Amino acid sequence: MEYPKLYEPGQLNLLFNKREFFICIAQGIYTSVVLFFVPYAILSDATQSTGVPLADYQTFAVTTATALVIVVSVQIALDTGFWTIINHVFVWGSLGTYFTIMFALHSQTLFRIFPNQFHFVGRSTLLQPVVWLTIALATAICIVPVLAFRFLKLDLKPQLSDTLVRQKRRKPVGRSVGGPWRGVGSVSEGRLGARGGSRRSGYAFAHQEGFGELITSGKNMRLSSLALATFASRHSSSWIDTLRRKNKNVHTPPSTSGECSPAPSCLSGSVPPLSNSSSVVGGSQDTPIEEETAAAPAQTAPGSSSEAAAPQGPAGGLNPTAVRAPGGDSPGGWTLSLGTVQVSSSWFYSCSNNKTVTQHTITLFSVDDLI
Amino acid sequence: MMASSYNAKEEDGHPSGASGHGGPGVVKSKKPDNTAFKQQRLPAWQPILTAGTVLPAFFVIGLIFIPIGIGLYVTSNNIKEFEIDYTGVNMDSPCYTCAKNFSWNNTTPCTCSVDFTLKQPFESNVFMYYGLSNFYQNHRRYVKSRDDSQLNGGRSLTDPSKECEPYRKNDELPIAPCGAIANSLFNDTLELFHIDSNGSRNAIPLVKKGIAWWTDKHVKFRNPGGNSNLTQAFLGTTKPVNWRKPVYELDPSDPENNGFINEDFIVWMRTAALPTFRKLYRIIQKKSSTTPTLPSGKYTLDIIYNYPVLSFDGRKRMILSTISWMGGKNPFLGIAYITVGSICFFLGVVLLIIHHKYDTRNNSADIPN
Repeated sequence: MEYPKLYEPGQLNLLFNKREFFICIAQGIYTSVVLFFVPYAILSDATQSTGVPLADYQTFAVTTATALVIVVSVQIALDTGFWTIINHVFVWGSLGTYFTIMFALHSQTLFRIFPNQFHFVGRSTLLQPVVWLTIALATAICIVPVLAFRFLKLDLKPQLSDTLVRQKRRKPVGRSVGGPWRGVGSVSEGRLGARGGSRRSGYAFAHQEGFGELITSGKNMRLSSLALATFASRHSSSWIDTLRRKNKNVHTPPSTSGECSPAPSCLSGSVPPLSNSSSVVGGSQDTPIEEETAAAPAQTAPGSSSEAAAPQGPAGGLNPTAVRAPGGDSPGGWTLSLGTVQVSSSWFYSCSNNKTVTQHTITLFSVDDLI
Repeated sequence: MMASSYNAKEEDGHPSGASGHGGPGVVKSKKPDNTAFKQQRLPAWQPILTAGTVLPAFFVIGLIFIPIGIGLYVTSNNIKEFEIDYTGVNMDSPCYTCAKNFSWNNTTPCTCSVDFTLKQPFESNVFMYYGLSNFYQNHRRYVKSRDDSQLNGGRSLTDPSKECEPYRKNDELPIAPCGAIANSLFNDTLELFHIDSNGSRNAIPLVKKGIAWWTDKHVKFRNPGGNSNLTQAFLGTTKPVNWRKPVYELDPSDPENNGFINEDFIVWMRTAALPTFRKLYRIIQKKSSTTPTLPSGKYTLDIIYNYPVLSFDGRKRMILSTISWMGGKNPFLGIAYITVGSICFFLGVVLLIIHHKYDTRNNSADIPN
């Protein structure tokens, strides 16, 4: 279910409807006409190198039948998407079986036993170069238009499955694990595949760790309402800025494993003393969001400054590392929002490095327990 | 013409044991085995049509077909061919009286002569064909009307198969060879004379061996009881209805060419696929490398007119042709190859332009956020 859009053609009946059926019929008619009239035109005047004319019934029949089998096999080979060993066996096997049976039918032994049924054409028909030239010409006339149409369709109007396959093709194979469709890639139309692994699907922008853990743990309910109000008013718009910045940042090759756009301030080093009004954070990075103050775990209550200091310590100690860690994250995000999932989400939007978030979240949860 | 990537998937060779390996009352698990085959994890090659494979393929096909076509066309143009119709439809045609006065009961054969001129000398072996038009040897009932076991000298000489009806028995005697194909054997006799500058006629030697398929002559058609004493072997049978002579008198001078293994008979029995066809009649061997086999000049074709075609509006003609490694004159093959090759090449160029334009247009477009 990684790419739900792949199911769309099936649901909308895009790949087999009346139009497709008639296209198939038209191609069948074209192939039949070619397969009859090309040998007809060539063999009507052809002779062997001994002068014996080749326009007899058996030669005509063998030429047309062989051309048919080869054209159909080539068409199947074009249609086969995945060549497992079974496909190889059946495609080459059917060609081989055809020639085997033909040689057997035209052999002397069967003629001796049943002279009236097996007319003993002999193998000399297939030894004529004109016969093989005819078969090659008929095959080319039948297959070249099909190839051209398919290539144009793939190039000008690639379907989702085609682009996905091409994206996967451009990534190193080692990345794909397991099933055929696993691959990290974006779904843009055609060309944007080689952007880099960090760009996620375009249609759903939250393929990240998610806030499930955070919300269900209730850690973000600690923030005081005052702080909350301040935060909410100041930073609701910056959430959008964060998104924009995140998108912009993604276009640059990620230097670090996970880019966090404006890492919510995290902390640069020393943690500014907490105040009720929160905010702080001298954001080491240029972040519009300053409050976070991740460092300020203890905005809970003014009275708990001492306790705040305690968690701050370790949290503060954590913070700088968190900041400098690639994908510097603001571990303190959890303190922020008392119910403002929005604000807290900004923290997590900013950083796509899930691991760091999780780690620090867990760490801080444990710290919080001490409070 | 496909880009390929090899997705090697590891194969888990241990089928997961069903959970029902416990006591007899445990329900066997319906989970399929964890083999590569059942879990669709077989290693596969996945070709993709990319520009890098399809476009070169088009160019390669074009570059291969065009020289082949040119070679075939040039070879075909070097082959000389001459054709003359001697049916006798028009009043001023030499064979008009023979054609008009044809009757089955004629004991004296009707002869006519046709004069023609060769503008170019024919070198090397020259092959002489007779051609028929509007003669449907590919009619289904006609094609089935033969008995190959009888023609193989088998036991059904006196008991031909039912497929030969109505040409199976005549006056209670079995017909050998039976069937409609044998009955309609072409029995005109053609002779070629060269009129040299003195005005004298020089007969051109015509070879009648080597005109049939080798497998036909040596495997498929056999005389009953060997090649000698054919009159005895064919006792109890009668000739086909429309023949003037019985089968063992087709070529009494040569026992290797008499009876069922007569090469003209074998050539006729190999049914043609189309209503306008030609069959090999005689071969004119080359004399030496310096003199042309048939010098340019005047020629006469003497015909013993035995074969009626006007009743079904057919035509008869005589064809003289030289041969190359790829057979007789066949301009269609060369032209077809050149056409297909150039179309392929042109298509490749067009696709390249389309692909390039679409590519650059896509790259320069703004990528929406």
